[in-house]
Amino acid sequence: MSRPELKALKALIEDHAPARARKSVGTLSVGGGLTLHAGEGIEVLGPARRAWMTAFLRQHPALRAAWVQGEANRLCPPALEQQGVALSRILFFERLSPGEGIELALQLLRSALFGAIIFDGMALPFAGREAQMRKLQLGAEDGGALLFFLSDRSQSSFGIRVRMEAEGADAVEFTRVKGGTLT
Amino acid sequence: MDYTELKSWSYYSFLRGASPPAELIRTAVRLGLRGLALTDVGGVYGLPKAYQALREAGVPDFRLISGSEILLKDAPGLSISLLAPNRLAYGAMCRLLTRSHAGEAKGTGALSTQELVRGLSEIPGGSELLLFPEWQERFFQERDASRLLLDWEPLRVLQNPLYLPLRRSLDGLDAERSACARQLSQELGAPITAVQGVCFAERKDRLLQDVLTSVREGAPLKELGFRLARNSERVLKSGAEMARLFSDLPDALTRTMEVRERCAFSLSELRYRYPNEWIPKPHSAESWLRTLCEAGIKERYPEGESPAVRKQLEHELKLIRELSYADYFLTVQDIVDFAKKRGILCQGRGSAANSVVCFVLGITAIDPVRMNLLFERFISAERGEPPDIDVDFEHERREEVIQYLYQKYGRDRAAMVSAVVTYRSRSAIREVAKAFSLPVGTLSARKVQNELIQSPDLPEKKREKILEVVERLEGFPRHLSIHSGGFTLSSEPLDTLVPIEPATMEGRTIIQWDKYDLDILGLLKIDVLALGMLTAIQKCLEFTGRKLHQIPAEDRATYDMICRADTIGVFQIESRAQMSMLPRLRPRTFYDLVVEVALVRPGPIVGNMVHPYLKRRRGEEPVWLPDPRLVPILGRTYGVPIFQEQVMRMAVTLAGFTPGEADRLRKAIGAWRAEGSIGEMGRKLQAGLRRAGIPDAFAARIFEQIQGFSEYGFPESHAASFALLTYVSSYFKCHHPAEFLCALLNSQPMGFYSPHSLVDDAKRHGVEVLPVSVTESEWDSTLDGVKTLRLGLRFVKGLSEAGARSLIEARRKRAFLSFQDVVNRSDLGLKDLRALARSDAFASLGISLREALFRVLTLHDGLFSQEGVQVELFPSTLLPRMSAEEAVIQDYDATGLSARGHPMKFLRDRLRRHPRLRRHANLTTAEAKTFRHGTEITIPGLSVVLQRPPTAKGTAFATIEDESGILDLILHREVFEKCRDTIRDEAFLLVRGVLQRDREAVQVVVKGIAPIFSDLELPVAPGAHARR
Amino acid sequence: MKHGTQEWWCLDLGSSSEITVQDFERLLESLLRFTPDLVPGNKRVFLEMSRIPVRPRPDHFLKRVQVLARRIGLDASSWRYGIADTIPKAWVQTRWRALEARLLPVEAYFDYIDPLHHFECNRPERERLACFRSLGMKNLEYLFTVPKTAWLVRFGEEFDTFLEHFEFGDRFVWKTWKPSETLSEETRWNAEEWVSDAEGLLFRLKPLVDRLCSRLYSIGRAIRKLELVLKLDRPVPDRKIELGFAFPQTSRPLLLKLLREKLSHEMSRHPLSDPIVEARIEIRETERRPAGTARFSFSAEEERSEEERERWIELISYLGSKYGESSDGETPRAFQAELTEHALPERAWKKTWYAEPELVSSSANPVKRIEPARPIVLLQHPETLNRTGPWLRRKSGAFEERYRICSFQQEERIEGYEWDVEDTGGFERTYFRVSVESPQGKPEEWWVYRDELLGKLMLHGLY
Repeated sequence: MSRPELKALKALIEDHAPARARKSVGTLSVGGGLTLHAGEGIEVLGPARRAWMTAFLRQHPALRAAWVQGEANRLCPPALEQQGVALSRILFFERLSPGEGIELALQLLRSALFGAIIFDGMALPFAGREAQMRKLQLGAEDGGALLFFLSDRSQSSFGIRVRMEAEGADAVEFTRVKGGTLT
Repeated sequence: MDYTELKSWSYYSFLRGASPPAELIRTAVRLGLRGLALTDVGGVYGLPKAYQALREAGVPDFRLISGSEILLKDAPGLSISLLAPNRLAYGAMCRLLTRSHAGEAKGTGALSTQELVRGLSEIPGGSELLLFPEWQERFFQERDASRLLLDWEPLRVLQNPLYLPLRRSLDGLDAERSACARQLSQELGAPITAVQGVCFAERKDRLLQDVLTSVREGAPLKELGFRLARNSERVLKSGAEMARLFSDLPDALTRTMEVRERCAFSLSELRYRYPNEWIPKPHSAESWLRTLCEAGIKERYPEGESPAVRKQLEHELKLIRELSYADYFLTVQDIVDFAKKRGILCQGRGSAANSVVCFVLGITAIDPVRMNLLFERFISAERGEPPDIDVDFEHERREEVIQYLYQKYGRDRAAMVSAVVTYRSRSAIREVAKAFSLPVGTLSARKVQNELIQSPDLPEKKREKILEVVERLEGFPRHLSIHSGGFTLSSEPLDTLVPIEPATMEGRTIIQWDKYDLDILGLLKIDVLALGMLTAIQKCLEFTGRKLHQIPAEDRATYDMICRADTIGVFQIESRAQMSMLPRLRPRTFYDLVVEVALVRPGPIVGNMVHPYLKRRRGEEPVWLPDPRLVPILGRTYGVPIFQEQVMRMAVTLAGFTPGEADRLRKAIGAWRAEGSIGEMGRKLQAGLRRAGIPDAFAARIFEQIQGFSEYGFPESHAASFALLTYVSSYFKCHHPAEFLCALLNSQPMGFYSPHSLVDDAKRHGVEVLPVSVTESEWDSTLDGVKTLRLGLRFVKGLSEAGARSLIEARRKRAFLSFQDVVNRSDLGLKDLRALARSDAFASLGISLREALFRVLTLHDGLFSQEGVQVELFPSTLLPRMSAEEAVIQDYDATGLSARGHPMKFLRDRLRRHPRLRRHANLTTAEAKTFRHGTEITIPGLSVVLQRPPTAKGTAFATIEDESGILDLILHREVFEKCRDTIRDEAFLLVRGVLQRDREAVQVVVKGIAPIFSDLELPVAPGAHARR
Repeated sequence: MKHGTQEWWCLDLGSSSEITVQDFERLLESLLRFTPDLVPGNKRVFLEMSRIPVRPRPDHFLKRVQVLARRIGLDASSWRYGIADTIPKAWVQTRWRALEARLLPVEAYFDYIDPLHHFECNRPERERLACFRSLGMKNLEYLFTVPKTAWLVRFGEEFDTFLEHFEFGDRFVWKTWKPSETLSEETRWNAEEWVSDAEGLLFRLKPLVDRLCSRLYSIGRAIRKLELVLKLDRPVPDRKIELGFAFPQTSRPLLLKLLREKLSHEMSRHPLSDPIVEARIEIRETERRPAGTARFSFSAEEERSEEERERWIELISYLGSKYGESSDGETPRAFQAELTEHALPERAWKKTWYAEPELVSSSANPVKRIEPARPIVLLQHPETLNRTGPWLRRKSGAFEERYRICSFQQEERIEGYEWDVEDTGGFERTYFRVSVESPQGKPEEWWVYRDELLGKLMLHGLY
């Protein structure tokens, strides 16, 4: 298919998107073009994943975020502050098991206060992963939030709209984009 | 690599620096630096001490650069540090500092930008000062700190040599700061110089600097956060370390050596002369001094002076001409002459009394030749120290003398010497505890020490740290205060020599150096001191209409009184220790009085000279002098060396010392006691005595006694001038008790005892004391007959002097008939009327205290009718009657003393009614003094005096008083610790102890003390007690 | 206040804390919810509760008052209360708690005379009490031993009020407090900040409008008519702009929108000739809010932010209980971060937990301090590195990786405080920002420190 046909097809799909109007949450910093809608998952890999995440939060000052970490906290809030991220907008969670992490995420999404839920180093349980992801996606759609999965190895591609490899805060290389293209 | 540190703070930058200037110099020399610039904030306080440390270190090529730092009012965070290249620039800097302190609150000298620019350009030499703008403090707050410096307009205007200081503080921002510095240096055209801004000498002092910062910011250490430095980089560093730090900017280091070459000024260039423009023209200072001496001799020795006096005078005048101290003597003589003309009694004391010139000029009152005194103790060629004359004046009229000095020499040529108030353990403990966030609140230092620091729940390591800091903080300066009387005068303006600051007291200005600095730099000082006893003696002379020299010498009755130790109120010998010594020493001649004054001092007690002297005086011990030449020296003191002059004379006659060496020996003895080492002078004396054939046992005895009095010992001349006042005041107490009491009461506050003790003592000598009265009392106490005294209105608390004057004025026109008459004719305010009513001053008009008070209430509401006749609606007899005891208590409350009687008299009938204390109620102190040695007694009394001299190793001395007299108590350490609070807070005590008698001297060794009023209820404890 | 059996509750605000007039006004407004009849005194309030059918228990009343006070920003911990049938007796009961009135000390004399203590100067009081004491009058009992006529002669009507308040009770009519009809807020600024257009003026007015709305909200009223008064620099009469509403309004954004339209219309008709120095908004007419929940208001927007706040508070309290400080002392697993002023990196921030969203200030210390760049990731336990020549060897898992060093910058020396014995005493580190090249050739930035005491090189953070 040529590029214009692809664009037309995409427009067609989007027009017939399900009745529920999906609120757009924010646009990807790099390449700007891709608008992210509530409920979509982004997987960020590579050594500078946290630096990229901070840069993203800096670009969306109004967004409240919950940073859920698997093992003990590794973040250094003064650095976040120095990079322009207001600490009062971030809730930190640490030493949570995957089960707890998911249940917590659903609770946060129900309160519809958060624009981004960040899972840092949380290996989701293999059994029933799709079901879990689906629940998260639906919750995120209602709560108008984005889901970020930061880890050094990719876990699953179900419900993941974008996957990228972060070398530096702005040196990002996209490995997978599903639905919608980077304009 | 050679390096000179161009900015350092000693602990004279109050609460900023953490090391004494001497230690900075010693460390800098040890690290091999080539120089150090001492730039204290707002002054040059530490320069003399640094200069002395440098002189002692004896390093030729190390250079001390004089400088200071000036804060700016209108550019907070920006300050300028100045360095003085030459004498003229140094004078300009001192004048600038004086302007920065003029009119400012103490300790916060600061200049506005215009003042700085005007100062640097107008003052001669100001434009040669090197400028170091301090811009790096603000670098932590905002990025464009350099902008602050660029648009600071003085840098454009001034042509002073400008240097840009750069510091490597290893805080991660060094690179950025260097870049900013390079850019600044181009724009301003100021070369970059490496300046560390030293705050302490060694890294371990950083702890002290943190505590000082906490005290300055007024917040505990934990809450200071970024106000504390995060590392100890502001420390003195060696050349090698600086080379490593400034490896990318080597020329910044070489520039520091450039600045060092430029600053050639040293403190030794400071010379100054005493003002002498008022000396009559044809005469030079020396010739005018001689003419005054000749005139003085005729007056002192009407029948012609003895050859010894003439020889001594010539010797002294020659020495004075050599050392060119003539105008110093003339200045002192001029002050004493002014005082005599105004009728102010004054008298020189201290080492000045050794000099015939002073005696002849009328400065001192002791004939040194007759007393066989030693001139070298006052001035000696080798010593090189300037003379120090102390002159006492009447304490109420000393202000006139000081204002005379200011008016004659002008405020810029006369200023008082400052005294550095340092942290003592008491104030240090509170500050440090606050810094370590202990709940200090308003606790006294002792409570903080016992309850907070020693409390078990304080972790052990923290307690050690606190105690270590307290111990190191002692001796740190807190602020400047005025020396008790030191004055410096100079011919040319003083503020080009040293900056002058306003003192807290109104109308006083002080220089930034203290008396030790003046000695270091060889500058001259006069002590204008106040002595209460002189005022009292002057008043006695006026009452009795006599002159000082008309007092008969060696009066038998006076000496009998002194031997009875009945000396309350007399100068110098009224203290507890003196009164217990008098019956044992039994002074009969003037010289005995001199010895009595000098003997009861910590020095002789420590060198245990008291007992041998007493035994030999009473003949219980043979007086044995191994060498006939010792007889003229030690004969008068029975072979016991009491005065420093005796040791010096022994050294001169026996050990072959020259007079100057003998004086250096006196100084060595002082150091000897401090360092404990015998010192080179001591060994020379020992060898001399052994050569003269003195047996070693005797020499050892002498050394032990010398060790005692080196510091505390009195010079003989000093003791003699005090003994003169003691004799005169004893004479008046013996022959004119009423006049003596009146003089003492009118020159309060002074002396050892409170007014009510003096009044009770006078009553025991038959003096009748009439209470304060509206119809008779003047402002001062007055004599109403041979032996009766009328208390003055000055004792009524709350009565203003203006009110009292108007009362006296109205009474002089027409005597008062009734209470209403008083109110109408004297425009007394309600406060004054109420004070008079509460002190029962209306008794002479037949109105009781409470009735008077009740009537004052009506005046309050203006209820009486127009024509002034008071509407008598209510008979005041219905008020509850006032018992005798309540009256006495009210007297004490209103006037601090009571003419009715001693409160103990009324307390006894209360005690008689008390079941437990009934049997001790009747014992009086006079009765107790008749008991045998060793009897157990329990006696009630009013605690009057409490003393704990440091040399008494913990034992305390107290005195209790009742209507029959006083009784001395001794409390050993453990007894005192047990009842410390009782004796300090309670007024009436029940004392249980064993009586000790040594001939007539009676004391009670206390076993236990109980407050009497734990059971009985006395609303107001009599206020006026001499607690210490 | 009509006569009859009354029940006065006295609320003593304690003498220590300083309360500004606005705060006191605000407190009175919020006390209106308990009873319409308030009698304010100096640092004390009397509430007449006899006509309230359902009266709260006194201690519950005090707790609710403390909550209200905290919302206004007053420290209500030291407040006390007392109940009696008249105002003077209520005050004496609060202050002295004494049962037997006659045994009260002489100081109570003035409490009876003036319970509201309006006049500030207490010098005459002190003198009168001192002279009572010197006349031997220790407590009120003594006062009555002397015949009343003597005191009446001496002190006139002052003693008379004392007698009346002491014995007969309260015939005196006390003035109750009414919330001021016209609320007004004003602001002032210097002439240089010249405000020319409607937008700039509106920016100035926004805080005033916020304050006014919250005050209306607390007393349950809505705005009907509003007047804006602008004071100009020149001595010319002030410019007045009237604003009326069809519906009574309470919401901020709606008000601002209407204000903006009115202002721009005004400015366009006759623009501003010279700078405005002062602006004041006066609310002319207000209306009581419609019954029912006094907090309901038409505008959705304010409702949403209010409701969002409620949800946040509820979520935080739930998370706090689930992941916060657990009873067995385990560190909290949910926290917010707040910066602290401390040199040591591990202590440069601390874990906090705030219920109110806006209470977390981004950086604790007002003085913004420039710090060198900090790493995003801070290792919990620094890993040891050993250096051989240009290589750094880091142990990860079983085997060792070799990194080539590119540069050492940003030297920073941090030393522990010697006085901070238990906490950070005795550590000395020199930090560097090291850029290295990983075995796979990718550049990385490390945060490495040399421990001066142990002399080892440690990896502490990754940028």
